[in-house]
Amino acid sequence: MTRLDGHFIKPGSIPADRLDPEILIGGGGAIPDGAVTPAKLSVALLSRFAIVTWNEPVEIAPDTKTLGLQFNDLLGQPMNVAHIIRITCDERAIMTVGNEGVSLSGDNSSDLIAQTDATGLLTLTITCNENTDIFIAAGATQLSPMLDCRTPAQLTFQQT
Amino acid sequence: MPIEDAVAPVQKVTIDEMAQEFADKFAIVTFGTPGAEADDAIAVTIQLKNPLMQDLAVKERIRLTCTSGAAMSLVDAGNGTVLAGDGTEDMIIETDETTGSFDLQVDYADVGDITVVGGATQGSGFVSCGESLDLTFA
Repeated sequence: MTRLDGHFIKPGSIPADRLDPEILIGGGGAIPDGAVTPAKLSVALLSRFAIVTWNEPVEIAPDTKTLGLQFNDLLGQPMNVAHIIRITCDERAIMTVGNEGVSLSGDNSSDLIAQTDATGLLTLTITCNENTDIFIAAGATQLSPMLDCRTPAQLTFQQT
Repeated sequence: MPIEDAVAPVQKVTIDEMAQEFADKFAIVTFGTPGAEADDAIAVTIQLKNPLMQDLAVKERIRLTCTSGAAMSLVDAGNGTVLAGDGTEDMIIETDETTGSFDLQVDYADVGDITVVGGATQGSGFVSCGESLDLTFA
């Protein structure tokens, strides 16, 4: 990285000949200066963006599984915050909110709105009495923050 | 030049300073230039861009709605996928993963302006849909 590359020291902000040659521009740390990455965001800014991730489903019975939704930040770290989210799935399945999180509407249906607990976790119990794959999608709704819900969950039900 | 002036620009983070990986986490829905009307239909390409306004080649789910009376669909053999509401005024689509585009066709048999807007929906990422599109049918 050059001393005046238009990033860390922007053009015109300070003449190059006024810098002490001993001053190391560029930080010298693990994260190079000059480009904004999620790792450089302040905690306050990082908390503005939430990414929906899904935990591994657990089979309770052939027609019943539990599934956890976790909000992570842009660094992939769990967000200890309660957020509101809308969750929908195939109409052949029914979702209810489990021990973590609170149902706000639509509990025991294929279209519910819920709030995660203070650790950013929401557990769902999904029931389906067919042999099929069920996709579950999350999305922003009223009072949601900036959300990345691109990753859906997929559950395979196999009745015995 | 006081030192305050010298250091101030360093504090201001601009969009241009976003690392590519970071910028590509955010999608902006843009509309291309509509084609000419033919058989009561107008085609237009929806293209995702990142905040640096570079084409963003990702799969993104978007809800499209338009003025009542018009019908939206995917151009024959066009890029993208319709997930729900094909041939209606309320459609959920998925952009093509390799181009970040969706080739939209809007049909309207009458005369007038049709407005198309996008929005985040179930399965959307960080997507900005602040731009709308007006199509004039003659």
